[in-house]
Amino acid sequence: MQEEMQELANQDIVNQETVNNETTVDRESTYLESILKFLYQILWHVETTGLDCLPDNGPALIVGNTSGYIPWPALMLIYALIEKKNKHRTVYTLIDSNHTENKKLNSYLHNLNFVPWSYDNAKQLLEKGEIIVIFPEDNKVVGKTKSTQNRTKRFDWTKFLPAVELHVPIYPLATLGVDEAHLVLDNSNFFSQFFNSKVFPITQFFPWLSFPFNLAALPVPWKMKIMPALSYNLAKDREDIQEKAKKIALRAEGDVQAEINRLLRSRCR
Amino acid sequence: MVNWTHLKTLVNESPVQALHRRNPVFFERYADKIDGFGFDLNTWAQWEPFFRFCFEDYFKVTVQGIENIPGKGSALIVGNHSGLLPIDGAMMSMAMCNSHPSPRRIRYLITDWFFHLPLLGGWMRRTGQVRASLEIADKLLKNDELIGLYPEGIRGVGKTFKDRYRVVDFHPGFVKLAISGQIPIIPVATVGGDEIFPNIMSLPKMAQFLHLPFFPITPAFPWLPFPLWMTPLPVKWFINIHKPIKLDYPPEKAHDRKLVREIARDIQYEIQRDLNDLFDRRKTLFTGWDDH
Repeated sequence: MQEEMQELANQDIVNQETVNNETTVDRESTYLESILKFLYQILWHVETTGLDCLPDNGPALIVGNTSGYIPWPALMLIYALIEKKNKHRTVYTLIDSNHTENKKLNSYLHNLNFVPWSYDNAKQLLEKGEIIVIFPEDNKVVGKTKSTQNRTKRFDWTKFLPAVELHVPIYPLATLGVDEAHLVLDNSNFFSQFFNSKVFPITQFFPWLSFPFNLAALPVPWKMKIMPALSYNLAKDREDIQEKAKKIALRAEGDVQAEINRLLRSRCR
Repeated sequence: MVNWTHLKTLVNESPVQALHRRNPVFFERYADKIDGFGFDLNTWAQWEPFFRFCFEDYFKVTVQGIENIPGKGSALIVGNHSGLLPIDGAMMSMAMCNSHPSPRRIRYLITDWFFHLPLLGGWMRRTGQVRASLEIADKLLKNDELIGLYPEGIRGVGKTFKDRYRVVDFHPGFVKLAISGQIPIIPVATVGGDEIFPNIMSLPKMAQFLHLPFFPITPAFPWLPFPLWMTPLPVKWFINIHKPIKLDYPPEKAHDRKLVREIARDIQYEIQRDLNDLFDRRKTLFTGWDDH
């Protein structure tokens, strides 16, 4: 599955003409857009702010928090950009290739410009001037229980390396609501060992229902905010790139958490 | 099982003698010295057994990294604020008084509001707390004192239960103080304090009416009579004291607002990250952490 997805991704990356001429939604059948519209407007009432921060052209890296198997904030961001007609930018989402092993789901995700995370993929997309989205908390976010809701896990600084190397602007994205929408009741150690997976979350829908119903989410209102780009100087050498990536990962994680805290407080006023 | 030994000292022995016997280093450091800000060793000795009981027997506080606080010289101890009554400062003072190899007092900078309260203002002065002002802080630094402050201010203690361990943006004044005084900053993350008085909701209009910074509704307040509503839950605490951060900037950089804001933000994020980790690893409210 990993190879298959990588192959699909490589086709996209190599075939620049295809990428430039077609936006995600142009290629995608209308029902995918309808699903996104339903999720964005009806199920989660997503309020997105800060889209204006994103550059009209040139590369950018968006880093954010997420929860669950699928990085839903990326999908909501895609729809937010569609809805905001003056933004004709494609967003590529880089996810861990072992994030999900469902073939059907992977095919949908691929059509929505989901690409397996690798240093080379990220670098190639940035060099082409694309906007890429990453969720550097990785698999740790799949099983966020109520006590750890809206609390970011450590950001993996290595995922910032391509952007820091190319001195690409980095935009933190805070999403409030995604954790509550994908509430995990408990993480089963027994089943995670049995299935040899890192986590095995028990939700209201998983594993009780079949795909795609087990991916269902609760109708919780969302707020998404893209913050202004983090400022940093051009790195001089390999060591400097790593140092800067570590520092920026900490800063981005802190910015996202602080914004989630602010959004939470404002939600209750 | 609660151990009442520390409270018994209040009845069986003169508090000053008890402090001298148990903690001679602390006693001799401050005995017979007049403090310009009102610290009184007798008052400290009277209240120390009570807060020591809270620290060791009631909240069963675990302290990690006490060795990061210097035995001499100035430093700025900065942490997340918690609890409706600021007991976190008292617990930190207990840690410094009883767990440090070179016990010292911490001078907490307290908002003026508390000093206006009858009885409480004088008591706080006598136990070593001072009004929060740059002028006072500068004087304390010159006296090589340890200064403690909570840059969230009063907003930090008024958090509701669902906002527990979510740091409110730090006021950057402490960074200015650290750079101008050329002293290290020691970040401290405290888990436990935000749950001892579970603040279900705040009533801002009532607070405004009564001229209070906040008016909380807890399971005990305002329903139970005084002082029962002040009874905290026996939640297990964890205090993680980080390594000192030495800011290598000349004193004139204290006026660089952008730099000061950035450093304050980085320290805020460091504390928040630690709180998230500690909160995630905690097993239950009353049993705390398995690995400590």
